[in-house]
Amino acid sequence: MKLPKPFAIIAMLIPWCVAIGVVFYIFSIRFPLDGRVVFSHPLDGSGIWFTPFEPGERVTSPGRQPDGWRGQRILDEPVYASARWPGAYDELNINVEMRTLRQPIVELGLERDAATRAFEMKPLWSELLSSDDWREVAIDDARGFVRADLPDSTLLETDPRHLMVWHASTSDRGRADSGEAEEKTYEVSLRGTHHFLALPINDEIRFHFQIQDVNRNREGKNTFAIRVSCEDEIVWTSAGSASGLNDSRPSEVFEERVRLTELPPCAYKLSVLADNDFFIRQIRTNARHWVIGPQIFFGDRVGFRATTTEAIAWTNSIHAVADTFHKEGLQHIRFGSNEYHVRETHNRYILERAPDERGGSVRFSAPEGNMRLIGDGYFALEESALFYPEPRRLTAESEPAEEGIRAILTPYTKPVKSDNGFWKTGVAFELPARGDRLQFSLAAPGIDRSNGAVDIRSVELEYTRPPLSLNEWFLRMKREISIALKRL
Amino acid sequence: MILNDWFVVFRRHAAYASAALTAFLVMLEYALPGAVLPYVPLFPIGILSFLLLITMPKTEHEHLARRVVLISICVLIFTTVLLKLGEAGGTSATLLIAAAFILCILAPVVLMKSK
Repeated sequence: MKLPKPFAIIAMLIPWCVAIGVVFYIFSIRFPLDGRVVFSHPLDGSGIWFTPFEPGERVTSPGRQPDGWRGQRILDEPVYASARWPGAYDELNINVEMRTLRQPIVELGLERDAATRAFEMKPLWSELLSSDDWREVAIDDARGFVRADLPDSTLLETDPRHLMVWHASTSDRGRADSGEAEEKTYEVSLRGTHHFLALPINDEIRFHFQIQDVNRNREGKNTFAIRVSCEDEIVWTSAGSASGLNDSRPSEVFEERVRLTELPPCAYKLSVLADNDFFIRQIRTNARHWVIGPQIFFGDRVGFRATTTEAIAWTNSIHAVADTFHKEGLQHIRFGSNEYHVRETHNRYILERAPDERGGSVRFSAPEGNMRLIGDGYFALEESALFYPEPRRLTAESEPAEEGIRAILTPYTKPVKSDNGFWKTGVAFELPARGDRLQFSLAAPGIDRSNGAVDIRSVELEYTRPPLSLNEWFLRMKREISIALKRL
Repeated sequence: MILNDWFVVFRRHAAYASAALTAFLVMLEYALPGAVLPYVPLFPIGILSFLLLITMPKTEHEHLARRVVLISICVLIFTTVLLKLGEAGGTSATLLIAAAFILCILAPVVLMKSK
């Protein structure tokens, strides 16, 4: 007996329809109608969408931890992880359940350039900003936190003395001085490359440098350059040399002049680029606010003057590192009210402010000169000239309230408390146009010094894109096919 | 009797559909890593396809031998590519995948035309 045709068609259609249904299911996940797909799993090694962190010597094995919870503990930084790239999505929100132990800030980065291992870092966790002492505020495009006792409008603070940033930038950089421009002369002995940041006064910047090359009997390095820039845009450059073919003695002191007029408001960076045989012996300027940093190198006066000049500077740095390369530089130095004894050459001395001196500026002095300083702020040769060219960055060592900070600009959002001391926090990234896997880096600055830890219990990946019109859908398909063909 | 015949037809098409689906999904996963494996149990489907093909009645084998061979070749090639070449890819892998994909498209067409 022959099977009736309708029955045969049904028998044939069922398996093929199931197969086509599976294919449609795959495509519906890859191209969801609402443009959103979420994958969530514990960080115990069982998930397929987000790999545990590596390398193994900086993390514990994912899974059950000695104190009972399931997840992974990070003990050193940086650590790396990767995620599957599920398709043509524009944005990724990573939400993690985490807690920290003696670790004030944690940052998560998405790899942007595989060749240079460059990551775009974003704030993931701040112990300080998670507390009730700081309130999350958003005004127009500005997002961040203000001190709990201050009004929301404090977020629009523009004075860098009271403003901090954490992976955010300020739009207000246009600052300048006006009024009477008094020219002042500073006798110094600054050695090698220095960066000066200055506000124009009456739309003008004027610097006269007295420069000396103390060792002309060398090859290849006896040139210097001066460059002026505004927000990385070069405004003016100059270069020169102080040597002849058979010169061996120190050169005569010569003057280099920088005079730029009709300048728009900006904190201009004036860089004197030279090796350590060039000395700036004198600076003459009419700038009211100008600083040097982050490095200032007080040299000696050998070959210039018979006397030694005390190195004095004011700084807004909270921390600095000092070292000397000559035995003449062995001395007692002062950083605010703290005194340090420099006993060895080529040894780094970490300078810190006294607890009650966290705000404002402090005075640095080295009676014998011969001292190199690198700070986390800037230095000035007189206190009234000191200013912040840009807001400070929130770091693991920052104590914003003690440093006079009123507002912190950041895309960070306040986390939500979970159980057992864990917090739910997240970060958003714009996704690259194409790729197979997304690479991440987690940074926990200072975790090695504090012997801290970061515990991560679970990860949720939310990929989103706007809902697509038919035309956009075809464009997405084209992009997917292009990726698939390149892969093949 | 009708039910038995119906089941024979259903089983034959289930074998071809699952074999073609396995081949297609393996290729899709190779081209777009992560597009298939997290959602679909690919290897159980492949094993099911294999079992359906080899347990067909003898008469079915005689009639469908050519098509079974075609589908089996597809699965075999995809499995070989996936296991041996895998992430290494290269021109030979691309050619094998292209050939197997054409075969897996042609096999059901041949089956329909032969009726």
